Amino acid sequence: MVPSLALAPFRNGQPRVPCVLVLDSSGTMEGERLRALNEGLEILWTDLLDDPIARERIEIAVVEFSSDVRVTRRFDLPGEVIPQVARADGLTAMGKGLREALRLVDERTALYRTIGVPHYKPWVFLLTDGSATDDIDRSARLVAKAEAERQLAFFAVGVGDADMTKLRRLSARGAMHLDGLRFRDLFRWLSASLIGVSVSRIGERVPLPQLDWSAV
Amino acid sequence: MSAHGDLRDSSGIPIDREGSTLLGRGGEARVWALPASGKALKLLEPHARTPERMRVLEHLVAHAAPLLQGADDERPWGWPEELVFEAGTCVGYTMRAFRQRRTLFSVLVPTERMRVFPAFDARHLHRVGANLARALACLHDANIVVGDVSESNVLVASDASVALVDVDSFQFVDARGELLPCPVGKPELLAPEHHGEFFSATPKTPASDAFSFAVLLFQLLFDGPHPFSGVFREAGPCPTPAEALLAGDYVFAAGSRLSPRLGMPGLGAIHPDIAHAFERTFVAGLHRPELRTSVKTWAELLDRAELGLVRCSRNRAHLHPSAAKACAYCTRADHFGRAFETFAQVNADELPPATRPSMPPPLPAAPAAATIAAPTAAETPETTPRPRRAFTRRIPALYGKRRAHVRDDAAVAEVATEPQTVAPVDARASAPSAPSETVVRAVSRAAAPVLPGSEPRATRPKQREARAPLPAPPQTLERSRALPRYAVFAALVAAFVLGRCTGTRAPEAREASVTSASAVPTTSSTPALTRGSAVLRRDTLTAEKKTPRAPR
Ligand SMILES: Nc1ncnc2c1ncn2[C@@H]1O[C@H](COP(=O)(O)OP(=O)(O)OP(=O)(O)O)[C@@H](O)[C@H]1O
Ligand SMILES: [Mg+2]
Repeated sequence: MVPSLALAPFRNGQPRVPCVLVLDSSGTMEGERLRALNEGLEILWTDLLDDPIARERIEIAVVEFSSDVRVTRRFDLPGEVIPQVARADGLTAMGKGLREALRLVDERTALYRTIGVPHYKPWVFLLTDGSATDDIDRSARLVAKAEAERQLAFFAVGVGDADMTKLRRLSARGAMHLDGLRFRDLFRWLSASLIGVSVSRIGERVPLPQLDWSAV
Repeated sequence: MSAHGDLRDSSGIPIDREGSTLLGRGGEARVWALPASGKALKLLEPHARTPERMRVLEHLVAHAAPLLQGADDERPWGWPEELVFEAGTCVGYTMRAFRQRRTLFSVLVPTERMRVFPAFDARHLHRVGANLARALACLHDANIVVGDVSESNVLVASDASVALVDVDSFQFVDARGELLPCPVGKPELLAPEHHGEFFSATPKTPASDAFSFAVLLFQLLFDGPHPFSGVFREAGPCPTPAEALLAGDYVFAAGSRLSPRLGMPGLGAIHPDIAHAFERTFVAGLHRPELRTSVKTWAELLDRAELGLVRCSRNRAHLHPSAAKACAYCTRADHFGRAFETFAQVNADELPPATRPSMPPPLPAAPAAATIAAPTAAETPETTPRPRRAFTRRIPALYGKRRAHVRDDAAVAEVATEPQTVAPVDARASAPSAPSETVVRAVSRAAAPVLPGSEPRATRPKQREARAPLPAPPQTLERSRALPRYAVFAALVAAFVLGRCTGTRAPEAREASVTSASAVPTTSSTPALTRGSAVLRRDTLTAEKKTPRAPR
């Protein structure tokens, strides 16, 4: 039995594009970087809210990882509250963060199935400026498996001194490195990509916009 | 709109773009409002400026004059009026600007609808459907098939009137008697015969439009969900709406692998005749276009159903068919709570009169072979294209004599196939989709048997019951006459031409269509595709098209 409160967002009858943002909130993100990240999140939000189709289809969840993992936003359509990373301190529990993200995705897609809502391939979008301080190998295997079964689209973005070699190993798609603090461009790209997906046909390959924020 | 420099019309007069604002954008164009002239300007993206497109525009503008007279309601389409050139190349056209309207998307998504048209109730939804059906029927009578009937090509006003845009993707026969196909469409809206690898080569028919229309109407009347989406009853991955459509998993069909989405209003929300017409289209007519409910029939059914709506005694914002024993929306609210309310406002006003679009004398008839032109030099041209500067080549129009087309075949088929009994609607259909079997049972009792002969039962009925066929309104038909021998030759010629048109698909695009089920977002960009592969264009380029966001 699904509680009706959980059902209410689905009264719009629209298919869903689930996307988890897995955000690094370790100590190294503090300061300029965190400010730029939050500004980027704001841009993502206004872009999504601006698009009549996107705002009825794209669901964002946010997982922050530092010494531990926090789910700061559960899956929902973009609403009034813009997700922000309030503080950054501690270590980089990236492995645990990723597992939490995968768990949220599984839980959400199971709910879609129960309710009978069609959905697009879920996105997991990882952003980090460091290197995992916990067990990342298990998470990497889970990501690889989900990707191989075409259950997931995984994106890893490194900022600053992020360990790109390790990041690249996470996904068949590789990893991207953010040019400086171009979070605005990054999140503009993310919203354009998600919006592109939201108007596409379910199960279809959607070419994404040019990566103009990447230094590679 | 800085990307464009000096724009001129066909007589070389500059287009005044002072203060222009963006009205909308699609896969291949942006549409701007021009305050100076009061017109809308559609500027094609470079990849959409193909020779085929130019031919289409040339034809449309040449035949525009009679289609432009009259009020919005009489001519509810954005017919191209003037071609627009940049440095001698045609880059788009001007048309009537439809202001104060929203795309049909915003009406069929209940949460959006409550925001943009808060006063809309079930009457308005029926009226939007009927007005759209009439506009389509009117075009069909003129041998035009819309082809891409979609929620983004229909604009709705607060009086429930509709306008069709994206006229340059309509399918019609040009002055040379050649079919200009509509190779675009969204798979989840396209009739099954247009799916698969050769979709762009299969000419669309009025029955293709009728199918897409029915999908949109279903979404309009049932708060948004697609008729081929819902709770998958089997293990394994749930089919996408496009897959379920091909497999025939209509949610209200007996034996469907999908059952209605939780929280969707039950079949009691609509008139039994409407439910029946959906069945004809999605079950019997799924692979047999001639059995589908025609747009003309839809218009009549919707008009009648609208008149039969009664106000709910518990919630004055709800209206339900008089035949329903309980209000489907109240039943839903009882089970899922008020958060599910999709009609917030009581609107006691009378609706304005329905729109009655009309057509000038028909455009050239589509030949019976469905595809094909039969060029015979002996025939007198009915019309000569208006000479336009950019198109110095004058083509004598070669059409007119053979009107051997099938008109409104779907409607006729309804009469012709009368004895056929229709699969009954499942018992679960009359209840809102509920989270558990027990709830379903409780609700089905409350929600009342909606259709005669389909009493709700505790268990799903295995046995089918016959229901009296819908009394179809009398229809007339011009039966297709036998093709003369030269037409067969012409068919071959045209098949060749069509083949050329549609064979221009880039190899990458072909690959994209084959691998489309794999759904891997890629970071590579796709080359611009031509009109012949426009379905792929629409779907594959969507992610890109939004990137350069215009400052608002
Ligand atoms: N005459 C008009 N008046 C007002 N708005 C319009 C008009 N024509 C188009 N629009 C808006 O612009 C949007 C895009 O227009 P149109 O469908 O013609 O472009 P397109 O690129 O050919 O689209 P598609 O992706 O369907 O091929 C429409 O959805 C509509 O919102
Ligand atoms: Mg369009």
